[in-house]
Amino acid sequence: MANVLLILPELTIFLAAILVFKCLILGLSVLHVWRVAFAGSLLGLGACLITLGMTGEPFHPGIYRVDLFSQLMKTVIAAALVLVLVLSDSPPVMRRDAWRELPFFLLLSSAGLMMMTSATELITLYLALELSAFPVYALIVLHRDRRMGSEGATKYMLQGMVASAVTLYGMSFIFGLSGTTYLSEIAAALPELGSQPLFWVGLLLLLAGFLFKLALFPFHFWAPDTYFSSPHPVATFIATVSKVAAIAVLCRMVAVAGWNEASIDGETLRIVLIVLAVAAMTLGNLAALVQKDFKRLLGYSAIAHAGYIVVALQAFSSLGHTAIVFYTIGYLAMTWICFMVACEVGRNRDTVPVSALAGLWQRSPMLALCLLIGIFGLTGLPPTVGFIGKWFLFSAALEDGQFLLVLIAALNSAVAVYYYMRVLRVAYLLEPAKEDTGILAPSPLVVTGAMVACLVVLWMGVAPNYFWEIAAEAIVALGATY
Amino acid sequence: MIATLVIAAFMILAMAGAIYAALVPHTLHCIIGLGLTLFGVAGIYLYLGSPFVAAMQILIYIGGISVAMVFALMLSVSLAKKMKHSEIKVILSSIAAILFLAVMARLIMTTEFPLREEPAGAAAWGVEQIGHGFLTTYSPLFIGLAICLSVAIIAAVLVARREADKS
Amino acid sequence: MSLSAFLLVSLVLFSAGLVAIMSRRNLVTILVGIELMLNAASINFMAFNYYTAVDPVVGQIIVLVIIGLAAAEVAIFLSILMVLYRARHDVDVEEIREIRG
Repeated sequence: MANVLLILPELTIFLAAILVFKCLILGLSVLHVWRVAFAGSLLGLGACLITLGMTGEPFHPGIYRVDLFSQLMKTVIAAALVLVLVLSDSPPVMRRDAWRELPFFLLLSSAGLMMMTSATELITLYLALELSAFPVYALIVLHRDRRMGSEGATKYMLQGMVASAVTLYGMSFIFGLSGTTYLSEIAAALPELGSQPLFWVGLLLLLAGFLFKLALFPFHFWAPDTYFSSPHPVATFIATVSKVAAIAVLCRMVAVAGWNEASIDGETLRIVLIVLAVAAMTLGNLAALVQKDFKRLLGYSAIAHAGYIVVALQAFSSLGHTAIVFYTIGYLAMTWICFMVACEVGRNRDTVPVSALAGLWQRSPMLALCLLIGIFGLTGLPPTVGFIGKWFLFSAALEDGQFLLVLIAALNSAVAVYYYMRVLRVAYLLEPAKEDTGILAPSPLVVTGAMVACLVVLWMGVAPNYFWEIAAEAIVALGATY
Repeated sequence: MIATLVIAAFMILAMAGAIYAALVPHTLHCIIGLGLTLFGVAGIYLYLGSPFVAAMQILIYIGGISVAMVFALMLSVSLAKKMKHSEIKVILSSIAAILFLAVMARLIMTTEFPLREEPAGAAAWGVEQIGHGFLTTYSPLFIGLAICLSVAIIAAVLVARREADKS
Repeated sequence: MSLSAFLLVSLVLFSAGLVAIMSRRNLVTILVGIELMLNAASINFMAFNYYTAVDPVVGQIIVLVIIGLAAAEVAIFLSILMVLYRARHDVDVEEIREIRG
């Protein structure tokens, strides 16, 4: 019984998915299906909160670990899922017959992502990675413009499959060198494994699949295209929920490989991560400068943010990890706000060019204010979490003595100001185009969600202590395992 | 001696099929190359002492996956045509792949793996052990795999169905 | 046969898969390349399972999982391919440049 309690969040979300499927078979209306899914996701969030303090291993020891770190990440995933579902109520950009299936796939993918945060065995991790990816592949195709949907899905899926195949190949070498797939045993054997170059090559290959989900260079190609060509709620899901799980796994893997004193060769991993971070930040920010489409711009901005996160990840310290967990929560809220605006503005459009935001201030002051907060956050301006979060990320790298890296990151943030401000300029200073002058009226639920997200962004920015302490405790729980 | 010859033949079959699939300019030939490789890999599994996995490889991979690919090919007629074959791209990617191969081969040859005293005998890992493993230690894998497969089938059906209302 | 012979065979498969993917001829050949890479990983797992693993059941379970997941992946991918084909009547990678920015 205690074991069931430990996997309560996954179980709730998964049972909700099954219930939604049952509703689909019974032929309930879109609204009813959506309500069931929404209630299920709220229950899932509740289940996460209930299990927040629990620790244990529900299955055979070493395969699946429930601790504060995994449960915190699951809570974040569940909260983000609720927010995404708020936007997923019969979106016109999707095929009409797919409206009812959208919540079902979102729930399933979230269950997979939750598994990812807890899995401590390589193959379970791989399985969770695939389980979380399959429903998303299917969702992108269900765009109302079949051409756009199928092309976007093909690109995303091909790159995802290549990345996961590389991950698997890397795992095979780690399995061969250590004779086991349990992370705890690998961590224990690290002093011997660390002297083998092949182990580090294997680990790098292994990270490919998760770097792909995070959209870090050189696995970033999909991000702008997929954000652009997915239906807006699905793009929101990819940009927010699935990022959290990837970050959780990266934190776990680095905690296994990097924190150990004995791993002298961890330096190689660190250098590779630094190179990837610099490439991702520079490339993402420079490419974003010339983008005309809002969602594509957010895609490049996501690449840059993946770079910022790796800046702290390469510090291989608990401070860096805490900063990452803290920033992830804030990043999620900021990104969701921006995508929420994209969803509302692009309600009847296949794409959301930046010019479509023109006159947003007149069309809906509420959305314009949200956009302001979200964009301020992504830019990294106070008093939002974007500022304080980046401060934490960079100071973790500074403490490690990486002055040059932090300088590059800071320069990149400065470059980014230009394109973020361009978005705000369009939204606040330009007159709306003739064809879309109508008032935008988001549903009360969306307004509520937006208020919560804005509150989180501002609260974390003004008084970071509370969230910082939770993140620090979670990282202590993670570090205690290895 | 004979066993060595047979396994060498399977290995060569697997490698030759893979290289053929990678270079051949015709899509159908490419799938045939994959089929040869899959067959060779099944032989390798047999040598490595797991007839069950070898059987699954043949049943699912050759019998299922390759056939599904050929079906997809037949359903989309233009695929059966000769594809645009850019020599330069093939050569460039071959060079990149050979570089990767050289580096990895050197790494593999210089690494000392923690070999077991004696390779595992066939008795240690029958179908029973696999089933036992799936249902006890690796139960999350079993559950997860079941979920994955059902999700895939549902997703594939939903995606490929024709739109009900074209309006 | 030694362990490294199997590892080299799998490496050749993986590299061939890389060529098939990077030369980007059409979508089905890319899928073939991915299958080659998955098989390379499977051979590695089985060979390590035979020569080094502590518990020789693990590798087989892993390979069975990989085979199952590969089948699932192919099912979804081919269904997406059908939609793509219906919408465009072409499955050539070169043609899929419309949404590039």
